[in-house]
Amino acid sequence: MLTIKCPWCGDRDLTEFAAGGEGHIARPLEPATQSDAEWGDYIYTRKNTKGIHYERWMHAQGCRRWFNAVRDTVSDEFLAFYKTGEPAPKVEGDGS
Amino acid sequence: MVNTTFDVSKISPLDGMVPPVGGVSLREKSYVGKINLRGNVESGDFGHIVESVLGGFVPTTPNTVVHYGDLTIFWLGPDEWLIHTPEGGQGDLIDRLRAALGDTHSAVTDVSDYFVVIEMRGTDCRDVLARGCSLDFHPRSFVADQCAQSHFSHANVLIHQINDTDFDVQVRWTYAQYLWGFLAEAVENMAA
Amino acid sequence: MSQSYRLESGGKIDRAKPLSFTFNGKSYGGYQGDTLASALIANGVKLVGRSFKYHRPRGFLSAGSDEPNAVVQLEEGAYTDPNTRATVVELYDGLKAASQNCWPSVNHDVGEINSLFARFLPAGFYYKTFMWPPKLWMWYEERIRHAAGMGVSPMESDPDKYENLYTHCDVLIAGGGPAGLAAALTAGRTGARVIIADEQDQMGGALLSSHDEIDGKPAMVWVEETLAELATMPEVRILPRTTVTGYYDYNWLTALEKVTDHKGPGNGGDSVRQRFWKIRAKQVVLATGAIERPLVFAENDRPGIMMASAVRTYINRYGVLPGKEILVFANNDSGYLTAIDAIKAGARVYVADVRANPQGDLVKQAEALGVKIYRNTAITGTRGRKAVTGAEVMELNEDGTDVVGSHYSIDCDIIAMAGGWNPTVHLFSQSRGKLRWDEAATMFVPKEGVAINPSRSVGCCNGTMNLGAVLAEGLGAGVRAARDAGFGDGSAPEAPTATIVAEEPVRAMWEVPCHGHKKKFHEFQNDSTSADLQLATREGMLSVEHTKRYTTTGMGTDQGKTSNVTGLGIMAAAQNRGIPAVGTTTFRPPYTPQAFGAITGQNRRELFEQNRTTSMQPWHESHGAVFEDVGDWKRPWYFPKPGESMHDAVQRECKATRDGVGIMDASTLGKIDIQGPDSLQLLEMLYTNAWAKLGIGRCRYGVMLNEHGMIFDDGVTTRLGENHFHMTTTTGGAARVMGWLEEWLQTEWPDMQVYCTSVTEQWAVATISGPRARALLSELTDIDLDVDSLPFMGMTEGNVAGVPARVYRISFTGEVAFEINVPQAHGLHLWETLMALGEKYDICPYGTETMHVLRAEKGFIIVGQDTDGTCTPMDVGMDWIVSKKKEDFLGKRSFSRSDNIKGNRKELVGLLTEDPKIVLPEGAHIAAETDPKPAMGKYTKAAGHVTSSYMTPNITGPDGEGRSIALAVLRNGQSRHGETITVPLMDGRMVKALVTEPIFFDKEGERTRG
Repeated sequence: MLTIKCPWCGDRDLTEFAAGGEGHIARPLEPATQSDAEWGDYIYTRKNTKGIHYERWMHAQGCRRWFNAVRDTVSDEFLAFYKTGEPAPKVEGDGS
Repeated sequence: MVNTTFDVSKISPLDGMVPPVGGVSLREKSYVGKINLRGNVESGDFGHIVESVLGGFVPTTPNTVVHYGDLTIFWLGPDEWLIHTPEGGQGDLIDRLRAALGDTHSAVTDVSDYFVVIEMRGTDCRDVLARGCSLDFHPRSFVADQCAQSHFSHANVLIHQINDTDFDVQVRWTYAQYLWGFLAEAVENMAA
Repeated sequence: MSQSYRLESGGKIDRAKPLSFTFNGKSYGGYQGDTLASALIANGVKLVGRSFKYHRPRGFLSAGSDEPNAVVQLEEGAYTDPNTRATVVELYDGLKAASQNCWPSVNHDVGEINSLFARFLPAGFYYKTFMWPPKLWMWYEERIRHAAGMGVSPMESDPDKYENLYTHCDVLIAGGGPAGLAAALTAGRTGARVIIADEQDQMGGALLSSHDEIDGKPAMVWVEETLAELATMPEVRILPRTTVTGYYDYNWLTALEKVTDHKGPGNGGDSVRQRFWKIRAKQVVLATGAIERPLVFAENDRPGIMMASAVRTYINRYGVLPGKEILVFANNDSGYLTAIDAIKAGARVYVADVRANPQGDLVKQAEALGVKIYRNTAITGTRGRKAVTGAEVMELNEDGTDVVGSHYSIDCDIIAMAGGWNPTVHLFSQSRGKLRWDEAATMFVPKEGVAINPSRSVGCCNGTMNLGAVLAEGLGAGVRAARDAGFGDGSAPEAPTATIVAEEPVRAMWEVPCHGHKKKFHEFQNDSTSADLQLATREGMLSVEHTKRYTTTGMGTDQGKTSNVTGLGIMAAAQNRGIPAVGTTTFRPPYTPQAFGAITGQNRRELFEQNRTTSMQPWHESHGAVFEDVGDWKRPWYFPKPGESMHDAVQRECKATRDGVGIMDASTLGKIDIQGPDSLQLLEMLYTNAWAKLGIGRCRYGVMLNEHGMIFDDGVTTRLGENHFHMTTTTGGAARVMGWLEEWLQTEWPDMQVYCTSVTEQWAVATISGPRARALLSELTDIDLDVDSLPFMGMTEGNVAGVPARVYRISFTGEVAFEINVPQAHGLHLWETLMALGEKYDICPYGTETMHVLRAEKGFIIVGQDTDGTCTPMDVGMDWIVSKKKEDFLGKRSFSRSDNIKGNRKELVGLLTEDPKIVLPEGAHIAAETDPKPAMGKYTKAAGHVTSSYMTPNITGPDGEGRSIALAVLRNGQSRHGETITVPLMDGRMVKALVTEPIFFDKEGERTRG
């Protein structure tokens, strides 16, 4: 079972968290000006990365804060945790 | 005019629950006043205004508890706290907080009946909690006036260590019977 | 009955405590400290079961949890436990066990006839034979399963209790043999929190069965001294009878502790029977030992053919000499330990060794004791039907691929196989550790683990077989694991000296040659032979995973603990490549079988899941409510009076509410308190309609969309103050909506000054509804309920029944309705007061079913019932709720996506069946054609489906009585009002129905506003 480090509460079991999928997808500021393709990209297209993945988690059974994590989807190793709004840290092995 | 006087009664979901026999006693801490408080302590006046009403600053270290007079204040999140007041004290405190805060961005919400508090007393509390909660309650990891939100089996809980041995567990009203049943069985299993 | 195979003395059994037990109905005696297996062997019982496929007689193979053959049905009735390995069952007085997989008895087994047809039952036989015709497979399968049945599951509820227990430690040590104990000692001395678990009833592991010495003293003295020191360390927990069964990510391990199994059923008092540990360890030390391999030779499965180490365990630990004439068949020196112990215990002993000329210390010791050794020799066949009586041996040729010369015969009642050792790497593999094939030692050993699961393998499970080295590894791993967990400096004490013998290398021989076609089993439980593996290779199975499934190798209850590596060896030879190229199968948890009860723990019966109820529940229960599950909640479904059916009750409740006043517990609705200067801005983004003009004390209905433009929740939100709102959500959607708000606020709009607090349980809500609702409420409150003071969609605060309340004039029934909110603790008081004062208004409590009927009459949707995640507001006829002026709200942009504007969408309609008494089943499809009976071989298409359907007394049919109504989604439904459609039912009926607008009652809404 994964251990996830909430930036506020520290290491907790996976069962306390809700997964929020890929991180750093900003909602377009002016949806009305988006083409169908752009809007479709925003709501549907995800990287499904094998390897380094920037993703969102929420400490659902704890402090209920959203935060970001960098996880290697192959090894399930978490490489970084950071608060929402903080820039994504560069991690070793990140090909993006 | 309503020509009836009402014989107002209150109930708790734990009315009539049978306490277990074993190394830990369970008891409901009845009708604690509870206030959810939201605000930004990192900038603006919120922190100091609240401090002036509560008699001290809200805890800013995650998962800790402070006491000011008969108030107990729990860290729930970086901008969220829970205040326990004596029974019936929540209304007045809510009014005073709201009055003091005025237009300062904040939220003061009465959640007295949203939660129920179960007192666990006895030297085996840690072992009872370990039968449903994955947190580490070892004295090296969890100490008095530390609190944590987690889940005990299926119930979302706020666990507060009172002293070296005792704990309070706060749970949503609708999960209280479930939690009590689980704790009581754990106590009895341990006693066997 | 006498224990004729019991030695006069020796063993770690308590001869002062005799026990009696029965096996297959016959009584036997044993001693405290025996296993069921050791006691049966002491009594001369060799035949314990029948194999899975051929029903061949089988006996004990091992003395531990790797046992594939001696699986028995333990105990009876509710306490019965199938597939229990007799080798790990601690004997207790009164134990009852029986053989499995044999009928009518283990000695006269009808299924044994399979054995005669064995050459027609090759690998894959069932797949090949019974797959045709396909529709008969189910029939075949049932019969195959009956013939091949393992144990029998109990049919009664499990009378035992179980529990889960979470714990954390710095160092978890799996295995309490010499390596594990040494690691515990040094880790424990640092003050770290240490757990050491072992599956046996006492610590010591292999030392319990050996004559090894440590520091010149018997090894068990060292064990006792070590345990004594560990007992003084408050942070060290010793868990005997506890098997570490699973190794999951981030060093999360599970362990099964058998707390009272050894006392026998019903003798555990109030204690839990088993405890399932969930352990988070900073560091793990794996000291799981090694499992001996059998040799795959001709006819190697007869009862009496055992592992050499097991024979040794029975002699040394249990004081049982399994046979009088023992033939050890070895490819390495460890078989000689058995030969030495057996001849010392009084047996006549022979060794057949496949090695050309073994001359190690142990070999010489054995020879000196009078053991007759046949070098460069293979067993080529065995005799005896229900127990082995002898063996044929022949000399091997130079490269070991064939046997040569003449054969000769050895009489024996035990053949002890010493085929080398498999390090027990199961847990390491579960942790995603990679293995390395050590060609010289012919074993898989741990290579490297993964970073998230820090562990160290020590001792035999690391391929280290020499006791002195084992101890040194354990001592070192203990301190280093503690250091990595933050304790001590990692320096290890010097290891004690231990028995050392010079051993010569093993000679790998995966399949022992013989002449003629004789069965050579590598997998005993599932009867898989070397020929099966070779056949699988010929038929094109190259992947080990395919071969495993095709031949069922390693798929028994023992998970192939003894068979996997020999199987790989045979596969590698057949495929003409090396073992590493063939690979290993994946080891999966649990390491040994676990009772479902232990995994479930306390989470059963009333604790299986929480039943959320409101403060009004005591009244509902005492007044006969029937409950419905709504999410986690138990909600009153209807309130039947004596003798009423559900239909009767619901029709009565529906009518009473429209005619007088009904009352419903609406406390379960999700409630969110929203405060902050940007609250309005948040609502404008969340909802499709406009909120800016909503006055304080006014309520508004809204629907929430996801970004795909589809409805995902709805509810009424009320403005309590300039920057203060009270939002309600559906009962099932409460947590989802709260999460939705938090997600947007925290991740997308952090500058928006809004705080949301869930207040669902803070408020108990009684809804009174109907023409007499106002009159009733006026008896409980001084609030001015006049329509001008408290109009439809208004809210006010005041005392109701003496309690501070918020009263919302919201209606889900289409009647004048008041949702009275009071603090939850007063909910029952409010309800009871309303019931008491409502008596003279004939107040009628109603449940969710009546609520559904009444709202369907009004065409109010239920999100998730009438919508399914593909419905826009326009699809359900709610164009009016979508603001045309707002530039943006969640989901808006998706309205104009191509799929949403292409037309031909499913739209909400009403349906009135031609026969007013027919209630369409919810979920029934609407046929695309008016005459949907297709020609043979053709199919009609569905044009939509029924979403809600009820009988109601409030809408009258042609006969003046109540009739059925339904809501449905129908392609282009909004332009098809007035058409007749057909709904084909499962029973073949074709029901015609008129398409209408989705509202059946008080279309102008006059009643609601009154």
